[in-house]
Amino acid sequence: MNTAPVISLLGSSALLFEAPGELDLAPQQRIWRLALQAGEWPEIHEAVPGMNNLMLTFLTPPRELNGLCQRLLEAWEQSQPLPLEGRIVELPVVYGGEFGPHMADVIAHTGLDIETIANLHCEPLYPVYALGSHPGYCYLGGMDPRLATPRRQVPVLTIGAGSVSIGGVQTGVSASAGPSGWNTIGRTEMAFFDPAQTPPAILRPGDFLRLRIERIIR
Amino acid sequence: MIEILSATALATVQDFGRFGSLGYGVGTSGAMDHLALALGNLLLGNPEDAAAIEIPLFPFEVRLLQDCAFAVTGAACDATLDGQPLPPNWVCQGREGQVLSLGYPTSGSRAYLCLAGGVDVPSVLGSRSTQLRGEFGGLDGRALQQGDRLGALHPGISPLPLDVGVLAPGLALPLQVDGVPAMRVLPAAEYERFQEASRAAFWAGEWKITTQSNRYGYRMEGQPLLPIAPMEIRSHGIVPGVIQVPHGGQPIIQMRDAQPSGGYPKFGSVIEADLWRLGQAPIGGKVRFIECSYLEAVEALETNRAYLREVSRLLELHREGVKA
Amino acid sequence: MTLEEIRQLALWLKEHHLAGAEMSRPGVHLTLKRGASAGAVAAPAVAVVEDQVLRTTGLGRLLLTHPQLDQPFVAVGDQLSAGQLVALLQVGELLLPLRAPRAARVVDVRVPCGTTVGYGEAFLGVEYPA
Repeated sequence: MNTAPVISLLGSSALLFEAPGELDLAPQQRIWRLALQAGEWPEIHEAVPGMNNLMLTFLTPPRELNGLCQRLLEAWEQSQPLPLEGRIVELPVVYGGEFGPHMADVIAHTGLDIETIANLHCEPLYPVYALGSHPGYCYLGGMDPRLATPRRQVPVLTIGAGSVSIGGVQTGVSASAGPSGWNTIGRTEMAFFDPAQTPPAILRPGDFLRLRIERIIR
Repeated sequence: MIEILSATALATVQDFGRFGSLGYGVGTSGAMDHLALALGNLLLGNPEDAAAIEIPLFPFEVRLLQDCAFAVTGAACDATLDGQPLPPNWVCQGREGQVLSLGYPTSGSRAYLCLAGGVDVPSVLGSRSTQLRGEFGGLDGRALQQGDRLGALHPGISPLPLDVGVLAPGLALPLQVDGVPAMRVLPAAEYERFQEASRAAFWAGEWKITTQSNRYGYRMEGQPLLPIAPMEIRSHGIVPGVIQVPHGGQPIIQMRDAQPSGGYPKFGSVIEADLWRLGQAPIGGKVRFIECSYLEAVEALETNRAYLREVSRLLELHREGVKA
Repeated sequence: MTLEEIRQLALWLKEHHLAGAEMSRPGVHLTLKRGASAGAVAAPAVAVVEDQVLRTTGLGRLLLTHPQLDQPFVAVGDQLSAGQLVALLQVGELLLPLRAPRAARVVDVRVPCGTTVGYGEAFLGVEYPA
């Protein structure tokens, strides 16, 4: 865990800003504020929030980075949390069985049984921190740390849409079928993305997901 | 309009990519070799980033259903038009009924079939590139199949002088180490948290592009990159070129259809200016990596742009000369 | 000497960073010095035919093999068809085609691959059908 912000390069295409401290909602709200500001800077194409971090893609990479980095650090210092408040969306989840192919790994790593895992997983109201990974996918904050399970050694080639997974200290719901390095423990159903709509993603930072147990397959 | 004749796999419609929607979880997609795409478009007098068909597997065959100028760039793949050989990286006037066949590449690994005006598919979220994961963009958000028909925006007889070619980017902008194609890499945030022996081996060693490599990512094989201590990284935005290292130590270079975010430790990033070199490096081939500075990476982008400007200038002069 | 040929020579000076050049041909002697801006490139595809040779259509580097391929376009003894690609003229990054104007047999290759050539140089000896 960093005690000061870290700025690093992603090639010559983007800067990555990582906020210090524990993963939490208040720093995420400051990241949202920072994204709004930095997104307007002349060098920046898009400001993309992540989990207590921010990627800034360049329109044309500036030859000199010091000025931009200084501006970024100052903006962070001064940023107040942006208290976005959106909608609460409730999703029924079937835990375990064929829908939770990695439930056994989470049980083994956490030492908890499937009932406890499902209940702890449904307990929080999950704020949407950021979108990423694939169209419409939401990164959620607020998972119970007792459920934390490291990302898989070998990513899985394909996992279905609606898969509910745990990766490290984070949790999320996939919006479409595809590869995943997270531990899939259940399945839900929801339409997360429609390219014909504006905006095309149904959920956005500031919305909340509430999960409830539909069924547990032991 | 053209019709796909071969039972092809993995060919997709691509332009330079879809930018500005990373915040919705939409990656950029786009051509794996953007220089080859740009060259085909310049030869046709198209906008540089007009959509074309990216062909990663061969043989590949299409029939022209109407007169249409076209260019085949990228991999040199024994192209023939009604059996007559076409030189690599060449533009010509096609006629209704002619069959264009591409064979196995003798150099490079991806070819681009560019059509006059560009491929006519709808633009979605600002781009005609195929978004495979989201199933939109390109032709119905999927790879091309036998029987598919694709239109060109400017079919017919081209008013431009054709029958001309360009020197391949691999020859005009060579980069090799010990006879092996090379790419420049900038270290990323977790670089120093890898063991020194691993770091040294990354720069000194040859890396093989394994068969588990595609538009999502290139899985590389070489001396494992081992962290000093286990790392759990928070999910963050990434761009094509980022070299992720999962627990096994074998790196995965994120390519154009990669997820726009990730949480594996990052060793470095292949610079944007050299992504096209990876796009043309064949499965099973070996590559080397060269450490560069941020400024060198920025200047490499300018070198690429200067090359395209020069080609464009020479084509303009050629066209004026033929008119005169 | 046509205006087109002079324009081509001027472009060649610019492309190869030469300060000046001279060209001689029966009845003509031309000297050019750089100073003015370059003219247009013009290289019609069909090689100029005089006697039984194919001549270059412009200024550049003569390539007998495509840079990305192994085999030369033609070999001695080959039967050429009309329009067949026999060589390339490289001008910077551009590759311009040199094509046989009509059917012929290749007798000899007169210029090594990669030579910088001027306009109207004989590069291929051919024999037309009787």
